[in-house]
Amino acid sequence: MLTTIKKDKHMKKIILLAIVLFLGASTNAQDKYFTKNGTITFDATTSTSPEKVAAINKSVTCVLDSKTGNTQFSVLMKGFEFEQALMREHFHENYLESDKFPKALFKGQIINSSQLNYSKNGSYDVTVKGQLTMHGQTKDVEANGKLSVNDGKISISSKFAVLLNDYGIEVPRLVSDKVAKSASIKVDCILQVLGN
Amino acid sequence: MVLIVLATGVYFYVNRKTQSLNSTKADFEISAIKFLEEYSSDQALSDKKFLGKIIQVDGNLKDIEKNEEGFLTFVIGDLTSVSSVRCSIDTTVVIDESEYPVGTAITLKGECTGFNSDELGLGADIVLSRSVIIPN
Repeated sequence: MLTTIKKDKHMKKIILLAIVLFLGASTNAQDKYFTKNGTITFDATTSTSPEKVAAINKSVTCVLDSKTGNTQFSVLMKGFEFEQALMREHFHENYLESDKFPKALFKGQIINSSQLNYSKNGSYDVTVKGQLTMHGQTKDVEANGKLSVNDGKISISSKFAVLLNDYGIEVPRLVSDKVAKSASIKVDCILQVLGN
Repeated sequence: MVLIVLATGVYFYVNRKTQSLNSTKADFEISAIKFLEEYSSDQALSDKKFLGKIIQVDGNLKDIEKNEEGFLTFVIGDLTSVSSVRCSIDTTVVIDESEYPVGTAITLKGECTGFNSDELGLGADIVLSRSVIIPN
């Protein structure tokens, strides 16, 4: 009789372990979210500029690990589209030197990630802290934003300012009445679960 | 008189809008598969060759993606591979997505903006911007 009880306990442990492992394995697939169609716009228009000094990139790659709050954005600089051809040429050839530095990268973490419930619809104010590498320079960046969970998709939006000088982006004095020293960066991404 | 002509010329040069690529000749014509092979084998060399150039690329249409702002991306390549050439469609061109069924052969022309190596098991991508569809 004793041996049967011992066997039962053993079986129960195995079953419990199997359930935990199974759950663990299936939640792992739900941990990472990504997009390859994120949008980032930058705007460096001064108040005295007759035209908009702005560009949009619609092919931003973003990955978010909901378990750790780690997030990464990858931006191909040549993907920034300008309305005016000359502005595009100046920015890519002279200021951003996109041929030399074709990719910008942000690696950071959502600070309050552990307080967010990624499995339920909701909207949260978040702060992201990390490092932005652009034009060959890496600087610390902290930005506020909003994270919303909507039927399994995560949308991230944020607006922050970047000092062009910090990244060695030199704007000639000739156009300093049009191009601002500080560019406003707007990020909008909707992420889906990796593995689906 | 000459000054007025010059001034007008300069004005139009300075203020020209980015044109759609419909009337621009491609710098390269290549299949999506070969394009990905070249980039995967030597990214630095491929960047020197292709970055900023107009590429006419052909392949199978794997997917049409639309982001929340309505921006379209045609994903083309080998249907059995995770790597693709992603063609972000020129927003000044109106497209009826239903005319392009997934799985069919398609040719697009766009500006090469670079290469994303496979970091997540999602496959490597080449991204073309301002893409237009070349009719058969």
